[in-house]
Amino acid sequence: MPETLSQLLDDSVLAMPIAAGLIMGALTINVLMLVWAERKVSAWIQRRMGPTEVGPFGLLQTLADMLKLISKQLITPSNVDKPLFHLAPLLAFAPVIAAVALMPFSKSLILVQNDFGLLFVFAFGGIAVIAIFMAGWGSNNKYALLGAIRSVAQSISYEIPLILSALSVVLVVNAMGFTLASGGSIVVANGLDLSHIVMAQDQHGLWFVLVQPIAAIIYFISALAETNRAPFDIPEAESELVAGFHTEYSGMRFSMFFFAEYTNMLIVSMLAVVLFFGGWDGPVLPGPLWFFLKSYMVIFVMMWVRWTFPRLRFDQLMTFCWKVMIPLSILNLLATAFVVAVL
Amino acid sequence: MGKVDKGDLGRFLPLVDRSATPVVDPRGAEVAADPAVVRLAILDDLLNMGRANSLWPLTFGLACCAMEMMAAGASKYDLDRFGAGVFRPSARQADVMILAGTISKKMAPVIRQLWDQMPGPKWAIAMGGCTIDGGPFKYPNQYAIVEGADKIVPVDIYIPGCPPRPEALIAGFLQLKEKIKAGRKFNR
Amino acid sequence: MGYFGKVLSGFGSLLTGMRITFSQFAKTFFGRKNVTLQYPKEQPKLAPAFRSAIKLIRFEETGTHDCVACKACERICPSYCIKLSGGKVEGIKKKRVAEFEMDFSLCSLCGLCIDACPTDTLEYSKVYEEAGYNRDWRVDLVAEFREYEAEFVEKQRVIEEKAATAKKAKAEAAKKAKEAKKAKEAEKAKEAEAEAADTAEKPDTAEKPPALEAKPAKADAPAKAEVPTAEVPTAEAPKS
Ligand code: SF4
Ligand code: SF4
Ligand code: SF4
Repeated sequence: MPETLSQLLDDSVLAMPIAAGLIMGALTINVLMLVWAERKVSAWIQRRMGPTEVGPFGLLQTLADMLKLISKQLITPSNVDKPLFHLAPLLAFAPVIAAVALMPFSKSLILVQNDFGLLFVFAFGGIAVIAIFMAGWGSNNKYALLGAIRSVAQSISYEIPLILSALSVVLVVNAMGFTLASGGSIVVANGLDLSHIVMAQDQHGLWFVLVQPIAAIIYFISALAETNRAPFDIPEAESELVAGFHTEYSGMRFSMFFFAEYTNMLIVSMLAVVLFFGGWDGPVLPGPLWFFLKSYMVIFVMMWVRWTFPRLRFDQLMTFCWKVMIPLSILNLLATAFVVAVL
Repeated sequence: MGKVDKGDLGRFLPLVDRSATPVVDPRGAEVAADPAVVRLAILDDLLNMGRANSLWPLTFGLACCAMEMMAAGASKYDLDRFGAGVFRPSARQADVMILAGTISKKMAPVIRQLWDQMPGPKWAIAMGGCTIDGGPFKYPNQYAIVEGADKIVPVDIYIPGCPPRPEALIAGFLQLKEKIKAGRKFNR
Repeated sequence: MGYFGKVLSGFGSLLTGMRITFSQFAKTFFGRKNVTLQYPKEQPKLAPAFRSAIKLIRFEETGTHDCVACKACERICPSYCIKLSGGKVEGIKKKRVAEFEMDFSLCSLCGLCIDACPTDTLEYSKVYEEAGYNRDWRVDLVAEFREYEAEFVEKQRVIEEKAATAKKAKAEAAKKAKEAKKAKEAEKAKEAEAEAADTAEKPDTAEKPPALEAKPAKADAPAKAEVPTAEVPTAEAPKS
């Protein structure tokens, strides 16, 4: 009996296709649901109804959108840099799938077990930035290029507080030795292993949002900026930059960016759950269900924030990052390190 | 003299017959009986359903009628109920162009360019008298406006009024949906 | 307020904003109340002053419109959207409109035609959901009245005939009354003369009546003297 799903998959030749298919299917359903939810949440915040006519409660709305996007004409403008233009959506699309594979849905349901999962997730986030810049540069369009430049500047700036806040959690985990449930032996906790972070919270019955509240807030805000969500959606600011880096993309290529954006939302909220909200930890219900429930709650808050606040100006965005977020996260990290060292 | 309050919400009687009539398939029964054609037709219908229910308009307004278009997108009328509330800023991602307002001759080339940038299949709605045939700005020897949006883009739905109410725009969207669902079996 | 104070107060204001949007969310999601009018399923309540394209009023008395094809509306329309024709109708004196073509797509709902109409037979309609596949939005405003036209003409003919006979009768009565008055006046004058003068010089009948007629005209309004003077005897005529 293989212990984890990843081991099961390791034994099979079909491992790669099966895993990829599973993730793709799940993510597609997730994106369909998230887009529907986004439209419904925005509607409810604005006291209206949102999609109601297509299917029950408008549930089939996004399916219709998808059908339409699939059948739309794919336009390649004449003066684009063709290789970059064609590659960019794929490159935006691929790392998000890889990042989802690293997530510990429960103690045994981990598609890819990796000792440095946290680092990998951030690394994959970095690839998405390259994809966005490729899209902006390859489009040969001033709006796309400006959007891409903004996106890169923003992502690089906000990655610092994001990683610093995650690092303070890693420090806390590393300071804890804990018992693995299966073995019963004391293992040195590896704070970069996503499942170890969850297990540490499980063990002490204490979610890290209580231990590291400031880190949690900083993480959440930086995650909004990382995923280009409002109020940090200046890379695609409609009033200034038409549609930002995906101005020239139509049909399926555009929907790949769309897909990547919504899956990114899922990834950062899953990571938030792993880091601060105890992962699969929860009573009665099975682990994966708790995991997804918590993730969707975080996503709901992201939507709620999006439909509440207006967009920041670019200088405000940068000021906010370098003058508020980074100092706060460094202070938080130093304080954590101090406490961990003293205790 | 007193008035009879009758026919108030009714429709005008048009001078020409405006009703849409389905056309008989010119390919005839033989082709229609071909299973491959039928299967393709089902796929076509499915795609048409998707298209009809996901009409993303292009975000742009030309004049006063755009106010009513915005009202149609806002909470009171909520175009999003029909899946048409996603106003896309980029022409590359839009499906339907709502021409809402006066088309000046200066603006006409820009509109045509936007139309050419939209990926097919695409549709256009002419909202308001100005886009149907010049409206209030049409007079002999006028030099400033284009008398009718259909001189620059192929228009599918015409909504009269100055401006039309948001309900009229929604009615226009519903008629466009009917048209798309009917596919080519549609004569206008 | 220092650095941390600013950060805290900023965070507080963010939370206030989120509280407000959540209260709206809760009202819609839990309270099931939204402000959307579900248009094809629900119809809007139109304001009494709502303006849509013009139409002809149907009057209760006649069961049809009262357009006399004077073309005042056609001339005043700034958008050139009215084209009408009409004129004399067989059997009646009143002119009637035959074709009233209005182009909905040109009309700017300014209302000048409504103000200009001498018979007040135009008004704003409440048509609000027009949309179609065709750019031709010319509508025939008299179309819905056509079937009543013959009836109306018949009625109008009767009314006009009655009016004509009544007028004739009135005119005759007025004439009689006038003659009677004249006779009376003449008698009075005779008597007065007879009383005044012994030596009989007969009064000039051609001179006196104009003087008598001029007197009541001066007593009434000076400019519009004709209408009241014409009506006063006719109104009195049936009584006497
Ligand atoms: S039809 Fe009337 S409301 Fe619409 S753009 Fe023209 S003038 Fe403005
Ligand atoms: S409302 Fe104005 S524009 Fe319309 S028909 Fe009357 S006069 Fe012409
Ligand atoms: S102004 Fe009135 S009476 Fe004259 S033609 Fe127009 S609608 Fe008829």
